[in-house]
Amino acid sequence: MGKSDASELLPGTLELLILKALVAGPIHGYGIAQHLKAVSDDVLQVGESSLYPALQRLLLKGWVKGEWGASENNRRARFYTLTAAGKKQLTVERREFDRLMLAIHKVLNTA
Amino acid sequence: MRELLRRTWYLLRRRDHDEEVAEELELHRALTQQALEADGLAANAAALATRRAMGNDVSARQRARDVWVAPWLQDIGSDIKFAVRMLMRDRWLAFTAILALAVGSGVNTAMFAIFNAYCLAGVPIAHAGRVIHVATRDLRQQERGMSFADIEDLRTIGLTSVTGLASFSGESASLGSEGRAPDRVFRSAISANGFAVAGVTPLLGRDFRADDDRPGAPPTVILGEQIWRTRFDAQPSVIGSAVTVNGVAATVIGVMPAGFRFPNRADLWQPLRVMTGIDVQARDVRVLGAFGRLNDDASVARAQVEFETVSRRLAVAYPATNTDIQIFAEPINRQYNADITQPAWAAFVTIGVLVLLIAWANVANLLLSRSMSRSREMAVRASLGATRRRVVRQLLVESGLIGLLGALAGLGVARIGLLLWTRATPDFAIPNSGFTLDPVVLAVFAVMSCTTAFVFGLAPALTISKTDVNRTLKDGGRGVHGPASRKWTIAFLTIQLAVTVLLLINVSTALRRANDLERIDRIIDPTPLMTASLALPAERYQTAAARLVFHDRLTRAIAGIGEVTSFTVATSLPVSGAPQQEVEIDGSGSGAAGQLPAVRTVAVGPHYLATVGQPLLRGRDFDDRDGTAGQDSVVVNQRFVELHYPASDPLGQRVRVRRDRSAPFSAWMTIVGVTPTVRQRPVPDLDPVLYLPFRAQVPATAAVIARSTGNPGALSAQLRAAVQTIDPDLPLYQMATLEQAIAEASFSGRLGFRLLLVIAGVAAGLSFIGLYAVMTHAVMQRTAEFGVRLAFGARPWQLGGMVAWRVAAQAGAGLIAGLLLSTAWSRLFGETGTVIRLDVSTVASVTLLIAIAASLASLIPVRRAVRVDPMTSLRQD
Repeated sequence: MGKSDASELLPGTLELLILKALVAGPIHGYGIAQHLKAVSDDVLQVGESSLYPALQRLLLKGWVKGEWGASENNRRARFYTLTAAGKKQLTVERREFDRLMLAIHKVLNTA
Repeated sequence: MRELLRRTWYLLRRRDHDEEVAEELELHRALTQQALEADGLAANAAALATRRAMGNDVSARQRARDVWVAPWLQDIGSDIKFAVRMLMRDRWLAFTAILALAVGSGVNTAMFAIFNAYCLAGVPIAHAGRVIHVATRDLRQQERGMSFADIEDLRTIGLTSVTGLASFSGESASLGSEGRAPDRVFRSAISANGFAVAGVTPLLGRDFRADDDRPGAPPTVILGEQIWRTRFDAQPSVIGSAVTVNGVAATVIGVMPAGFRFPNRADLWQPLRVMTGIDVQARDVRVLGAFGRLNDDASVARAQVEFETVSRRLAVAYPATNTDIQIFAEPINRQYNADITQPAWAAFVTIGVLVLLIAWANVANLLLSRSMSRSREMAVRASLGATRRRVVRQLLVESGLIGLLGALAGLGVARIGLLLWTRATPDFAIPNSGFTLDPVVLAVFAVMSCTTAFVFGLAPALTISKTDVNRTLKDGGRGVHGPASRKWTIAFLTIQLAVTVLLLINVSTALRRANDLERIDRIIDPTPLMTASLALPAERYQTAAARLVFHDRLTRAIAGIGEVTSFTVATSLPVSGAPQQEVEIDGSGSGAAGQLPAVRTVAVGPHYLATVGQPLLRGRDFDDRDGTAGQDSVVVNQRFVELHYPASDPLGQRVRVRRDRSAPFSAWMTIVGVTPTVRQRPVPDLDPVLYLPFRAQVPATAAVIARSTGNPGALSAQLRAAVQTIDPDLPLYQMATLEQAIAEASFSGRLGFRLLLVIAGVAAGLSFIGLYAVMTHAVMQRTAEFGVRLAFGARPWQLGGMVAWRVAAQAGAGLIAGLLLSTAWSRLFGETGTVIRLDVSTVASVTLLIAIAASLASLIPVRRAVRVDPMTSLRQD
């Protein structure tokens, strides 16, 4: 299965996916990548060189916050959680994404 | 925005943040490896697979960093950091370059501020462009002030182009208040509408009202801000308090804003009528200054036309006093600003530019030297993948940094320079607005400094970024800068030295001139002398006899003052100028045909020479009989004798004068005395002077001179009282000690000289530091070459000799160029006051100076060359 590089996604989609992944609760970077891979049946494989910069962007915008804690193997890891602004942003981006998809759908399905 | 705050927080803990991201990536890698092992891979296989999949974390970390700070900003940041590091490594060179820029731009800014204050700024009143200066001109184009009566008429006639007309006069006065000794101040007597016309309101209290300027009004005074601060501690309670001005009590009604000293550098102001008798002065006593404000829709030209019409009407109405008197108007700034077209100012500005040139040449040289030693570094960078643009950018940031620091330091230099200058300038010479750093000027010079460094850094940057990487790395970066850069260096150094030589010659000439003048001026000791001017109005003193009566009574009254040992009158004070006339020498035969020689004339009263302290070389001083009928005597000065009686004895010879070809001759006068030459005009030239007896014509306007046993300033009240007893309506004008009067008259010459001295010193310093820096750097460059020479058997002193010869040759080239430049300069500015003397002693002294300085500059480079150890230098490769 070919690896879908995050750069092939529409811009901003990776952030949307990350925000959604955080709804369930605090999770660290590796965990996010695993989650996305698992839920999408191995289609979305996000490399660390796209994931962590995206997380930094989310930190900059204040939509997530990071807290250091212990991971499974007792090593230090940064756990990300959604902030209130992030929750709001998720809804906004979700709507935007749906709108975009609908538009693309329409274009593709017109003769 | 909060995002900005987060970015700032990031900037503060950048390193920690970066490490956190690195830690996350490391964890990610570990967990990935763990997952692979859980899938069944062996440990090292899993590790390898992970590494292959994830690769280097550098790119990830950089992209994480790019989120917080834009990449281009990061680049510039690292450029600046690196630039600072490189400059610190070469810190003496960087310091010299910054110093050169600082001095160049700082001195220039200060000079421009001075030039601005004297020539461009004008008067510090609102909309000064709408204010006109009003005065009169007579048939001979001689300018005089306005008379009280004429101004009153102008006001009542009602001018359409001018909204307000104010008049003023001013003189030295004494200010007294409780608890402190009296201060000597300058009091401006101004009409009540004066400040209103000028458009300035008092800082405290109120302006004059029309009531304050009525005859018999209670005396009032408005203080200047400086006096208020220094004498009254800036207490608001000064309003309403009583002070004495010239012994007369007055109430303080206001304080003017800081920096306001209009119209004549006043420390305080009183209504015009404080000058007793001013309102009944004869119409032809024209001593008042006047200014007005144009109407919004009027122009100076229209006002001028109106004034011409009024002048004609007044000439018809008052033919005795106003015939051929033209009232004129001109923009007030033309009156108050020095004339920029005067060659002295042109020379001033030119010199400023020259100093800047030196500074720039210095910086250019230094940057060039620096770039030469970095070609190998550039080659290494290029080989590591730096694009040419990146390299050039880095170098430009370095020179830009020098420029910025130089500009900032230049600000400090300019500030300090102006502070020192203001302190050193006597009060009367500070223009109305003071010397300030105009923000526009500052900005211009800051930009100039930065762009200089930029521009001068560009050429070397472009050259060395173009290096052939292979060649440079192979031969150690030595062969890159050939004769081309050397030529530039030599050119810059020669320019610097040439300009320095020019300035030194200027200084030397000025020094000699000042010395000569000092010797001559010292003939008269002005300290015990007090002077004041008076003008006898034609109405009450119509004949010479009437005026003589006045002067006789005055002499007797003043003789009664205890401290006065001697008293006389003169139509001009020493150094303060004198009218020019033509002279005919009896027996010289030059009378009928051709040009008669020129001479300056001063009419002086009896005992003039004794009072003033001018010695007699031959013959006698004037006494009471000279000038009376049959006693036409004249005293001449030594210069006159040198010109006209070089071989014979002038005593007993006869001369006569006339104003010009159209005027009649005076009677023949006999020379009775010879005095040494004293400067009559405030210029370096020494004129032939004829001292005519006052009693012959008894001119209406004259200065009285009194010699005091004690402090001459203390005489002012008594002199005034003496005049009042004889004629209560006759004020004394321009009361000042002779010392003050001479200082005021001769100020501009000294100003120019002092400036020149400072600038020449600065220029010389800059040039030699530049010479030293370049030579030192050159020696450092040639260390390997010296090592080779030593290895081949050269002696250390021979190396030293080579360096010394280089320095000498450069200095010599600069000297010759400088002498050529000086010749061009004297041709350009020769006719005017800035002539330079290119005689043997000047040239010799300047050459000596250059030689000494060059030797000093070469000491360290030579020492370096001599100390070269062949082993270390050859290993340097």
